[in-house]
Formats: sequence, structure tokens, C-alpha cells
Amino acid sequence: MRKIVQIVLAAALLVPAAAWAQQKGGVVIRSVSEVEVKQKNAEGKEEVKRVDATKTKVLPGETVIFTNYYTYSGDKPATNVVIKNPVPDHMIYLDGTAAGAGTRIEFSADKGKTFGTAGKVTVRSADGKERRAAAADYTNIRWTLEKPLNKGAKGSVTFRAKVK
Amino acid sequence: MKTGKNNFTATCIAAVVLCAALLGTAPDAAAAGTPAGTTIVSTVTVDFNFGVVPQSTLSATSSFVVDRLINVTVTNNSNPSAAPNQLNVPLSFRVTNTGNAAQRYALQPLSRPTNTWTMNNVRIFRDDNSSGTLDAGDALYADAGTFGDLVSDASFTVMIVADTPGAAVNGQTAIYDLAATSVDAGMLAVSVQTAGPDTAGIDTVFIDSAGSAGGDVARDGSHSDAGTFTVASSSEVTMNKTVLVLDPSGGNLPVRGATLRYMITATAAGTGTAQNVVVSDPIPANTAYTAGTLRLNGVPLTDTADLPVPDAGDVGATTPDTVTVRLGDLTSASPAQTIIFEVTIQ
Repeated sequence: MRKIVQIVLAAALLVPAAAWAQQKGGVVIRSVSEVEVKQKNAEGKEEVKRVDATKTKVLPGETVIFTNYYTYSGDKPATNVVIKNPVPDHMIYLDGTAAGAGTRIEFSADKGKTFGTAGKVTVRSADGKERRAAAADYTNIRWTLEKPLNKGAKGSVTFRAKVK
Repeated sequence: MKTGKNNFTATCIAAVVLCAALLGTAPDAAAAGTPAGTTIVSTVTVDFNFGVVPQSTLSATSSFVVDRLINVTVTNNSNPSAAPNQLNVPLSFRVTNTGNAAQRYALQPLSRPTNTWTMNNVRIFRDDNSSGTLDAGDALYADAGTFGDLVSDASFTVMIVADTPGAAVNGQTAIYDLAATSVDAGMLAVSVQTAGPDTAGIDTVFIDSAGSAGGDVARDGSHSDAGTFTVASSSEVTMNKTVLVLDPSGGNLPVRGATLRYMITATAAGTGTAQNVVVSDPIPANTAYTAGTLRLNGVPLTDTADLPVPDAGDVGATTPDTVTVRLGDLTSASPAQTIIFEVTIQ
């Protein structure tokens, strides 16, 4: 199966020449889609193992774990680090699964225009009435790092969603 | 005299039409899900400041392809009642593609091994107008290609259409399973589940439930449901009795010594078989049976019981002072049965 893992590490390539001159290293972000599968280990015991979603069967109803790994190698701290991940098309966000150490997690039900913490997001129904958004209404997830990243920092943010 | 009068047929057919009509218009509530082959892409972006300088947004993606889930559901719509010799009796089913890819289906009508009789001329038609009955436009099933592909969540109504054997008896039932086996869209080969680990391309996974037919286990790409043909036959036997008086003087006066010649005619009508028809006629009071006069259809019958192998009739042996004639099974095709016997007025 096709595997598309684009790693855009060269932040430097995208920034203005002036910034490039000052910057050594940067943020590296990597996206991983995985599925939990039951496997028998060497001792014959069943264990749950995470397998890359491209290397196992994924059917409607399957829960997929999306994890975004980041590392930082800049010589000055990176501040105001915000990681965003739209809930992919054909997927439904599973309530309470977004996580990320040292981050403030918010959700959007309007494709990223507005964000709020879980349970405080509203959505406008077809009839124009505003109501509290359910997890299934979430379209985007945002992780805001509470502290600057120093050189050598690494971490990850994650969420789970179900294939429609 | 009546045997097994049963007029349910008309009601049952009306119910079938209603059922089929409802199913034909109601959309299926359960969606089969994201189509097989869909690529799902997750895109992450990062914004940050380098020191105080905002940096361009970084992004990364990962993606995977949704595999093919095969699921098919067969549900029985009707359980018809049919008269013996009735042609084109429809047993209706709905076949729904509950998988996430277009499929076609190999269909089989399966008579249960426990059936004591079977329908004749068993065929499968697609009920194109959901009428619940065989109509001129309905397509006869030949192979999985006949009815074409069903997209995800779509369904069609098919009928096992068969003729009721003439010997079928009122109340008898025969159970048939309709089995639908998943076939790859545009092909005639039965779909195969991808064995072992994930492969390049779209893998195939069976998630169908076990069906009603023997051996139709879960996750085999097939599903089945059962329906029942019930024989609803009616049969009515009509008797007609006449008497001819022959007095000793050659006239027709019912005087002492006159002979009364009774003639009983029995005929059967209706769709079924009147089984073991027995005519019993008590000798009238103040008369005496004239020995040796009992005839059935012109053939003399003995008056005795004739054990151990009795003929069709006797006088007084089965029931005292009564003429008994056993006519056996009668149908509307049987000729009229004529019984004649004589008594003398005492």
C-alpha cells in the first residue's frame, strides 16, 4: 500500500534569507497513522501492538491513532509553538483522545475558524441554531505548547479517530 | 362434506405486495461506510517563532487506504401460500450490499434437506417493480452478471419463483433458503478474502454474519435467509342423492314391498385433494336392504367386510344398518362417483 510520509524539516528553506542566516536547526514534525492490532508475541500471549496504518487492514469503523512527533534543534528557543491537525476527511474524532504533554488542547467545529476547549465548542446547525458541539462535530484540533522549546526538545501530540 | 377449506392465499399475496413496496422505497439507515480505496490523509502543521521572529508554517502528512469490507445481507420479505399446481409462486427476498464497495452476487435457491417435498421449476427473478409477484419485465437470473453490480448500501428484491406440485397437501410447508455469495464487481469470480498480512492495493475482508442456510457461516462472503412455501388448498365434495320407487305392480308407488333404488353421486371441486372420502348412508327406517345390490360406478361391491382385503364398500359391516363406501382421494379432476343400492319397503 502507498505510504506517504512527507517530512518537512527544512524550515530554513521556507523562511526569509535574513532569518536563515541567524537560524541553525529548527523544528522537525512527523505525522504517523497507526492502528492497534492484536498479535501473539513470542511466548504465544496475545498483545496489542501498534502497526502503521499502511501495513494493516483498515476498514470502516476502525480506530486510527494519529501521532505527530516533533523535535527541535534550534539554537534559540522556539516560542508560541502551535500544532494543528484537521480531523481527516472520512474520520470521526473520538471524544477524550487528544493528548499532548505540556500543551493546551482546543477544538474547532468550524474548520479552524474558532477554537475552544473540549465541551465549550459550539456549532451552528442547518437551521441556524447554535448548540454545543459533540466530539463527532470537531473538525480541527489545536495543541498550544505551554513553554518554549529549547534545543534538543522533543515530544508528541496525538488523537484517535474512527473511519466513517 | 368439506375437507381442509382454506382461503388464505389472496390475503397473503396482498401482504407481499405491501411489504415489497415498503422495502422498495425505504432507504437503508445503516451506511456501509467510507468506500474501499479511499485515501485518508492526516496533515499536521506547526507554527512557531524563532526567538521573536515568526517562521513559515511547517507541515507533514501521513496517509493510508481504506480496504474493502465485504458484507451482504439477505432478508426474507414474504412467505407465500399456494394451491397445488399453482404456477410461478413468488418467495421474495431483499439482498443488500452492506459492504463499502460495489459487488454483484451469485444467488442460489436452496431446498432444506428436511423438506418432505419440493417445489417444481425453481427459478430466481429480480422483482424489478417490487410488485412481489412475477411480472413480464422481471429479469430471470442466470449468473452473477445478470443483475449487475450493487453499489454500497444498495439493494434489490429477488424472488424464488416456483410451481407447486399437484400432489401437495393443504398445510404442508417447504422451506427454501436464498443464498447470496459476493462476487467482484464486473466479474463472475467469487470475491476472495485477502489472506495473511496486508498487501499492496486494496485488501478484502469478509464481515458478513452467519446465514440461515446450512454451512453459511459468518465471514464467508455469503449470507442467506429462509422463506416458507405453504400449501393452501381447498377441496369441497358435493353429494347428490336421488331415489327411484319401483312398486310390485310395475308402477312407482311407495307401497309395502316396493323397491327404493337410491343413487348417490359424489363430485369434488377446488384446488386441493379431498383425502379418504367415505360415504355413509344409514338404511332408512321401515326398509330392508336388498342383498347384492350395492354398486360403485356400475361395478358390484360385496355386502360383506371382505377382510382382510376389503373392497370399496359394505353394508352393515363397518357401521350396523348403514351403507359404507370408501371413495379414496378425490380431486376436481376425478370423475363423478356413483353409488347405487336398493332397499325394500317393509
